[in-house]
Amino acid sequence: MSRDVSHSEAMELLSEAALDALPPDDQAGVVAHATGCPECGPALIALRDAVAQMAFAAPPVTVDPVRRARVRTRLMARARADLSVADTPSVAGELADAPGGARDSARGGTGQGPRVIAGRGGPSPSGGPRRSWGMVAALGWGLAIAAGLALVAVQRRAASDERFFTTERRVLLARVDALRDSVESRDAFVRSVTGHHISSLQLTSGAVRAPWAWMFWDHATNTWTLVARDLPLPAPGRTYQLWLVTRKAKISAGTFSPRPDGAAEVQATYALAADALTAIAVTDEPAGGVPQPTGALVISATANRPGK
Amino acid sequence: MPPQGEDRELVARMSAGDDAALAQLYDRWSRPVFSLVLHLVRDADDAEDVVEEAFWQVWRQASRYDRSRGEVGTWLLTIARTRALDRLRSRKRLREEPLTPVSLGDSDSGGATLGTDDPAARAEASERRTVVAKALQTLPKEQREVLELAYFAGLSQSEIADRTGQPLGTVKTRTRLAAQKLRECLGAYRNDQEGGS
Repeated sequence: MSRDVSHSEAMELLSEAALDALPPDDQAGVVAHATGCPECGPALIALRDAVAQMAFAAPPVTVDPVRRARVRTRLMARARADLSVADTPSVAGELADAPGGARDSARGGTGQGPRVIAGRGGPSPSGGPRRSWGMVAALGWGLAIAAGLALVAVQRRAASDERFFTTERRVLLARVDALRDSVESRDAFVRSVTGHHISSLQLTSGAVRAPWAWMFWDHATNTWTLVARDLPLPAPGRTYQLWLVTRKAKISAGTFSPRPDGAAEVQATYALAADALTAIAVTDEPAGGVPQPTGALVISATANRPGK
Repeated sequence: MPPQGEDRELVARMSAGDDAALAQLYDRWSRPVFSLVLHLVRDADDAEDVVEEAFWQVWRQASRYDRSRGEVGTWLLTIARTRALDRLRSRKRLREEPLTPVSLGDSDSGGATLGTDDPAARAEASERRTVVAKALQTLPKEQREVLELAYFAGLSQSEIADRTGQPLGTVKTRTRLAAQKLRECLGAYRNDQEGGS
């Protein structure tokens, strides 16, 4: 359903339409108007392009390369199946459209095809030669059909083999990918703790075997990278939660658990004004995290004089 | 050929039934699409399904792609976002998700970054990320907030008003100003890209 939207109203709603943030009727109405409007149409397209770029504001993520390869393999298998389905009717159609073809032969063995063909040979008082020619023709068509079906079966086997080897190749490529991406991941990590836009804060603790950590804040990309060492493992059912503290709020930057050796590297993306940060803290919280800190402070730093 | 031109050519080949073009498009775009979808759905299995379905939709609808209605990347990312938000709503977890970091040492991920077979696409995505981050930084905080709530949480204007405690009219105005400013800031980047074609 869509409602009629006037030009002036559509102009007002273009930004929300670009975000798909309107109720369905209004959304459809604005899109319908913009489709035929020389002013609203290009404006909506430009806004959609700009809004879609926000996807790049999502932090780059770590995903198992094998998972990515698996999606690719499934997609390609579906696409090939889609193509073969599109092709199959034409093959079947050729067989079925042929005189005395598979479709005709399937009609309960009436033998109508051969009889019709034999009929084209002209009258024959005895009927013997006509029947013979008819049988030969039927045999010929039968062989042709059998050959066609055999060919289709061979092609399917070949396609199946190809899919298998393609999948194997993908797995091997995924392993290469994993190694390459591992290197890239490390490169990205180094970039996130170095460079002109990075501020850093050292977090300390009063515990005996003191955990320590550094937080690196990339102002250009709003990326926060916490590198922690010697953290004790949280108790069962507990987790660590990272907080960005401003004068007005304590902002959760997510939960994490260190590895058995007490080390952890955590990244999050959050935009903050350069002077808004007052502290960084890690607290011990129930698994899953909490909206506001409730547990013990594990490690923290104030940001009065952040290092540069 | 500029990136947009390559994408258009790939979609044209896909509409002609060339599955290799689908593979190339996937290699070019799987990184930002995975990033966006995982950021939205916060679950690797769900993200995998959503990414697959988004690319599948592009394959099935390649012949309907109309260049005059936006770039291929816009089209693909819009499909992926819509499907991710649908998945999120179906899980009824839309308002319960805290900001979740991605651990570099996540055992589930094997510690590796999502890769693509196309180094040019990697460089392009990295450049775009920087450009978009800078463009968002130019927005006043309250405008950036409504934009992010609308785009990443899929909230309607009324829902944003409820969430932020601001009047609906204020939210609408902020959204409009934010989207227009973003469009202006990113316009130069887009023009540069098209200028190279």
